[in-house]
Amino acid sequence: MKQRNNMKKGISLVLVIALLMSLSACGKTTEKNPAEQTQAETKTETNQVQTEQQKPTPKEDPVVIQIVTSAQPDPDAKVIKAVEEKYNVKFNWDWVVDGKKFNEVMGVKLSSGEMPDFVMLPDSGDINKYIKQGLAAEITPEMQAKIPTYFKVVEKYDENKNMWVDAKRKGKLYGLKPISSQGAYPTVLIWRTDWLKNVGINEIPKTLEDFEKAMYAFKEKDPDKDGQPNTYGLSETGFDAVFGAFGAIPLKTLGKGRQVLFITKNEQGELAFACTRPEMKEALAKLQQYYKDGIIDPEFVTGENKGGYWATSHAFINGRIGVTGKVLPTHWNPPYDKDSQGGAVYQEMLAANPNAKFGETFDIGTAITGPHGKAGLHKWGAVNSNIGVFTTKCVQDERKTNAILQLIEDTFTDYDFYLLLTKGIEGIHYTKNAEGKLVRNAKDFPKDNDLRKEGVYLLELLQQPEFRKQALPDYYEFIEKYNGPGYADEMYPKTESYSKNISALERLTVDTYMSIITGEKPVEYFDEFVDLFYKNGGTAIEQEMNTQVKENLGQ
Amino acid sequence: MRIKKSRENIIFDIIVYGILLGMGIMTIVPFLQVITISLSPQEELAKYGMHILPQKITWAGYERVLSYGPIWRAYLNTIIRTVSGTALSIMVLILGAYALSKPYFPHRKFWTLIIVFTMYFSGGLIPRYILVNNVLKMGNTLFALIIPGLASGFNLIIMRNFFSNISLSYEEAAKIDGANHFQILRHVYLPLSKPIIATVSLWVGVGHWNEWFDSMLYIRDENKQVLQFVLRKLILEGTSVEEEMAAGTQIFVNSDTMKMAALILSMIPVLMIYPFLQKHFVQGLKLGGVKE
Repeated sequence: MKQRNNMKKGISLVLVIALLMSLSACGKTTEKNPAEQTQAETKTETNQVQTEQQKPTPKEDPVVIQIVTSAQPDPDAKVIKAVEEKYNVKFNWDWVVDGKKFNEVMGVKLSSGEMPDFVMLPDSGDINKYIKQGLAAEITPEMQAKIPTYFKVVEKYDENKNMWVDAKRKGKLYGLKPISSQGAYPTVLIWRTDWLKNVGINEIPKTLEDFEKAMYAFKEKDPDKDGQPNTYGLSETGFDAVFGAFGAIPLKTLGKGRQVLFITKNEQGELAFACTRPEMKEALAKLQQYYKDGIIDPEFVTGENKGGYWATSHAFINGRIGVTGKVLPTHWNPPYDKDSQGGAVYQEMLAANPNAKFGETFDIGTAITGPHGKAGLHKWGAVNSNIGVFTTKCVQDERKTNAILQLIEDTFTDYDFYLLLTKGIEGIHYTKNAEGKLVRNAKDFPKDNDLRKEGVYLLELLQQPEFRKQALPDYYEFIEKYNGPGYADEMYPKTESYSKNISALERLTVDTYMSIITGEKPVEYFDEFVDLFYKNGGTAIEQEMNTQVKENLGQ
Repeated sequence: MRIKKSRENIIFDIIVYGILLGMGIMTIVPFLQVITISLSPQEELAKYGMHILPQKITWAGYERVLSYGPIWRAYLNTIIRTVSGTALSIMVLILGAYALSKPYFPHRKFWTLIIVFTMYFSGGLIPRYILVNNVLKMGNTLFALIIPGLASGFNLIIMRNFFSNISLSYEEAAKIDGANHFQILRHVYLPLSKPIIATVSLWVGVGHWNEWFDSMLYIRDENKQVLQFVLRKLILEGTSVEEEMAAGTQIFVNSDTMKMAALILSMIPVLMIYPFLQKHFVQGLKLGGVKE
């Protein structure tokens, strides 16, 4: 009896302590917020006074700005010091969030009551969540007016006129999108030109007819001259050439990894899935024929890449297939000059085939034109999937927003400043060679990460595509050579039914495509698939997406 | 006298050995693959098929890893974390288990219940983060990696059960000789419970060695990151196209040879310690699990 009483006492004691603790925790947070607010208010007040006098007195303490990063720079990095002095700010890099588990870590840190000032969300589809949580603040027209050059430059790259569909809500802007200028170029096909020559073809195929001839020859005429029937025409990434020849790229990959279904505009100009378009049935019929005739590598099911760098096609490097795709020309470029090493996959190709030579053994080709005159390969799209967000904490302090906006605007107008942010300091991080090209100091800073430690890259909040071209002339000269027709990904808002149904639809699509290509199911099954696809959420997603776009843009 | 094996026994043995052999191969083959990749030059790796035995040997991967500064720093951090974390953990567990194992310990059931409670329910990630980072102010320090997991309920109960099996007569005898509780623990209990200490140390130690998520969560300074987190970064680098798009530039790619060499180097210490603790392992588990 006594023991039980004691136990009761113990339990109630624990409960009381727990209650007290939770109460005190509540008290703390409610106390903290108004305090912060008043502080922020006084700051903005003093700031207003100063803006009236136009120039802030130099004695004013620098305002602290917290930017989310994936790795901290050295505390006394010279690049950062220079920027801090320029804007009279102090950057704080305590918000370290690993890019691979971004939402998870970000969520935990936010829920502990802290907030950064500026954050680059890796996926603009997540912005809904952060608006609801009260993290993302509206970028008001007044704020937008402070970065006119940014808008002027990025909107030039917005070829589908859709870059703001997921950055805006009811016409209000919540995020700034960066541009990756190389995404504006389509991916290319890489050909074994020595194989082509061995089977009597002297030019890289441009039409589906010629493409087919080459593919069958690669299978049947022993292009590698080893006397064994061990070669195939194409594998998984080469399908893009066939799909594109019929008018669309249906999905990111049939192999491993997430098989994102691509969205295109249909004839009415509305967003719609590409994988259900009737042209795809024709393309699948073609591929089924190819598979039956043995010109598709049967290992296409597991993809061409066997690990390591994603852009490497091991099937191609090992001489199993004669054409590969889904890469940019700059993955395969030979060295531009003695200071450069060539593209990442080019280097792997040479490691595996020491006698290979660009232009002789392998070369780059563009899209294949189909029977209806359509052509194109996949294009990543110039508008990146990530998005820059000002937080609600940041916009309370005008000094912070002004400093960040000015930093963005200066990145877009001042080439020398751009170089400071992206290349570092001349003489320390890079040098100019005789032709005026920028050469990185690879001896002291061999990896990007070494430069990041020095503060380089971190403050280029949004990429300036035109300055990038200016700083990397070789790169863009090379990529420009292989510019051709392409199908760019449409930007689209990720709606509720999208998140709910998309993975099931992805599976359905991949299963269907696979079984039609391998001949398990007849081509006619495609119609049944389309039906199934739209019944199981496809219709809802398309409708929601289109209404959401209109709503987001405030139309 | 020999027991004659019946046919069922033989079939049973064949099945058991078959399964064990299968499991053995499933464990060994990936391991061999990792070793082979770490020793092979790039052109070998680009070839199709499994890489079970190295065809050509190169030490380039190891050379590159060993000359890569952050790995050494991370290695040291992990060793500090594992050694100090395990030592502290074992100390706390022994003290806790000793008290809980005494039948005359006041409210023993209640305290045991509280500890068992933590095995079934936990506050979750967010409260833990708030506690460690905001309340205890341990963010960006080694303490954030050691203190939160210091005494796990499961280990404490296992150890308590082991201690409960040690006859109270030893304690009485020691008391008659004038020993206090600390002396009893030091001179009677510890020598008798080597197996359980070895077992639990192994669990805690390997746990510390392999853990990376807390390092990602609490540590901001790259110089304080642990080995597994640095390795994870190294291995995931360059595996997705999205990363490259966001970076806006071609990222520097570490060769598979280097990645696997780093993996092997991280495995060596655990591999070396295992055989020495293994003999205690089975015994400790068995004894801790049963209570008379």
